[in-house]
Formats: sequence, structure tokens, C-alpha cells
Amino acid sequence: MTPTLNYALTGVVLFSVGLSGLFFCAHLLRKILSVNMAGSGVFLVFVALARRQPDVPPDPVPQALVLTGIVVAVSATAVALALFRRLTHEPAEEPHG
Amino acid sequence: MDSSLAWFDAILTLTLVVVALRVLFAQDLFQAIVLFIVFGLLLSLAWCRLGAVDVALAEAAIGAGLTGALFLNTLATTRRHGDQAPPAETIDRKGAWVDDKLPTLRPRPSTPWTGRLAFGLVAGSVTAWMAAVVVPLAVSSDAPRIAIDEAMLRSGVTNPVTAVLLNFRAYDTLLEVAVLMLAVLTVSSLTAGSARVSKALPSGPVLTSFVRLILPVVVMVAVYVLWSGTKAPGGAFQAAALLGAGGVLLLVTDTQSPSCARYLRRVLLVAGLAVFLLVGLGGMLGAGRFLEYPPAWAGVLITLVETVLTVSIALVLVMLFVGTSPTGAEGSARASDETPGATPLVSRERTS
Repeated sequence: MTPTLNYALTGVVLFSVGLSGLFFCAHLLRKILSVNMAGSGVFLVFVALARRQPDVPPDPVPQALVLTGIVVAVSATAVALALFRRLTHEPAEEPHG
Repeated sequence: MDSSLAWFDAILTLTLVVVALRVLFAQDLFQAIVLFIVFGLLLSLAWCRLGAVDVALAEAAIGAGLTGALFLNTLATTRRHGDQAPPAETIDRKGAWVDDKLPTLRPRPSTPWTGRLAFGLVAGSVTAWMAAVVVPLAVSSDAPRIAIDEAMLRSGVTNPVTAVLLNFRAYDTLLEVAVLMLAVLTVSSLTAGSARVSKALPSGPVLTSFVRLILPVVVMVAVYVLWSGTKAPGGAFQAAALLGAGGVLLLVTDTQSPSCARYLRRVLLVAGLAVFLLVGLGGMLGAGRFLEYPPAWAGVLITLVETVLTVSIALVLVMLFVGTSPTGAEGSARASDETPGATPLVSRERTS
């Protein structure tokens, strides 16, 4: 098994794990964690496929796309967490003020 | 291939899958988040094995560090105010919210076994289908590699990833920065109305002195990573991630730190996008196309854009953290009036 195949298949498995978590975990925070893991699986497939020929330097285009993806993922996570925070605390705070 | 490296790959990928499953199965949410941080660190090892050092740098700082901090921050909010349970139907029908001992991967009690079986079948077949798509791609050696090597000579930099990010596919990066702005706007508007004021996190003398020691190093490493990004792994995103992490560290330890004016912070926040757009428009005037650099100027322009982007993205990351901060309204008050630590940190970097 080549490293590319190894890591690409791991990426597929991680995506499935993340997807299952998204469907089956009850807690919203865990759902957000799961989406992040599914995204990491996609990134892993991308970067693994960028290194198909071991003797030449890896293809920089998928790497740059993944770099972009990581930054977008963290901002999307922050938005999701802010929504979560709003969802959990806004109703509880209404009686006070 | 080296058999010890093959063993390393096998163990690393297996560990990744096991840790990912543990994130879902862990009884405690805190444990799950810490495992997620471990997952990110293991993933950056995987990036190194795949020759993607740029991605590894970003993953270690953002994927593992900052995302984990965001989650822990949010969890602290839940723990602090969440004792009086929020309306159960918006969260979970079974009221599993109140404590963190959640059913995790175990389906909700309402799900019948047929539903579980159906989901298992669907998940299994989706995995198999994706594997069937990926395997032929992974084993084929005639990769459709875009001809980058000859274009590299005109790109102005020698690190291919930086060339792709800021020259060949600069449009993607420009839009990405716009997405970051949108995220900051969303998070700020979501947290602005919160009226609860809480105390800042307590910080002991050990933590405070550690932060004082580590912050200059963080700034120096960030500048180095930014500067070396034109010829070696590194660049604006990695440097910004480091700076942002430093700013977050400063925020959570709550050391007294000089603040800066509101307008200055706003200017710094949009500076990256604005300079990037101006450079793009300049390319339209000079070279004929949007975001096309004259080859003689490409290196200078890329370094300029990267430097300003570093400042802006670092500030974005800190403000995203403030948006999910457990200090609630205090955090948003900081966001709207002053962000102690964050801006002085980046301005120091900017002048250096």
C-alpha cells in the first residue's frame, strides 16, 4: 500500500466518521466537531492525491486549496459556535432583562 | 519504500481513525474537544508525511490550536450559564443537554433499530462508494499535474504554494479573505446584543509570566514564517495563525495590555482585503487583467499583500475568538470598543 492510498483511504473513513457523528450525536457542539472532522477527511484525500508520484515534489495546487480550506473552516466553525451560543443563552437570559 | 516509514504511516492513520471515533464516543464533551485537538496535531504529522509542510503549519496553529480554543471557550460558556437548561426542544428532544453525559454515537432512544440499520447501511455504502472513487485516483501515476514549474519562474516567489495562493489563484485567496470578513461580521452581530457581564478568567503568576516570555517569541516566529514564505514553507496564513494564537493567549490571561482606538482596529481589519483589491486593480491597469502582476514587480507585490494580510487575518482570528468568548458581553464590549492585546500585538509586528 502506497502512502497516497493509505492516507486517501483514511480521509474517506474520516469523512464517514464525521458524517455519522453529524447525524447521530445529539449535542450540537459534537455535531460541529463532527463537521470539522469530515472536512479534515476531505483535506486528507486532497493532499494525499497531490503526492501521487513519490519522486517528484507534490502538486502545490491542492495544498494551497487545503490551506485556504483550513482558514475557511475555522471561520465557519466560529460562526457556528456563535450561533450555538446565541441559541443556548438568549432564551435563558430573557427573563432577566 | 522504506518499511519503517510504511509502519509509521499505518500506525498514524490507524490512530487518526481511532481518535476520531473517540471524539464521537467520549463521555465528556471536554474530553471530546481535547481529543479533537490531539486529532489536529496528529493530522499535521500526516501533512508532513505527505510533503505538505505549509498545510502542516496552518493545521497545527489553526486546526488544532485555534479551533480547539474556540470550542473550549464555547464549552466554558455552556458550563457556566447552562445549568438552568435551555429550552430542550431546540437542543435535544430527550433533554440530554443538562449534563454532558450524552448518548454520543448511540442513536437517540427514539430511533428504532431499523433506522439504525438503515443508517449503518447507508454510511457503509457511501464509504465504499467514496473509496471506489478515490482508489483508482490514488493508484494512477499519470496525475494531471498542471504545468506550474515553468510558470514559477515568472511568479516572483520560489515557494510553489505561495505562488499558487497569491499569484496563480489569487482570486481564490481574495475571496477567502472576503469570507473571513463576513464571518467576523456575523460573529460580531450575533454577540453584540448579549447583556451578561462575567468576570474575566483568573490567571495565576505562572501563566502570566509564561505569556510574557512566549509572546515575543511568537511574534518573532510569525515574522520569520511570513518572510520565509516566499521561498520556503510559510506565508501569510501561517504567520497570521501564530499571531492570532498569541493574541488569544493574551486575551485569556487578561494581562493588562494597551488598547487601541476603535477606528484603527477597523482599518487594520479591512486593510488586507483593501490592499489586495488595490493591488488587483493596479494589475488591471498595468498588466491588463485583474490580479495580474507585472513579472518584475510580482515578488514585491506578493510580499506587500502577504504582510498586510497577516495583520488582518490575525486580527480576524482574535475577533472570532472574542465572539465565542465565555466572558459574554465583556467580550463583545471589547470587540466594539477595544481589543486589548490583539491590535498592539499586530501593530508591533507591522512596524518590525
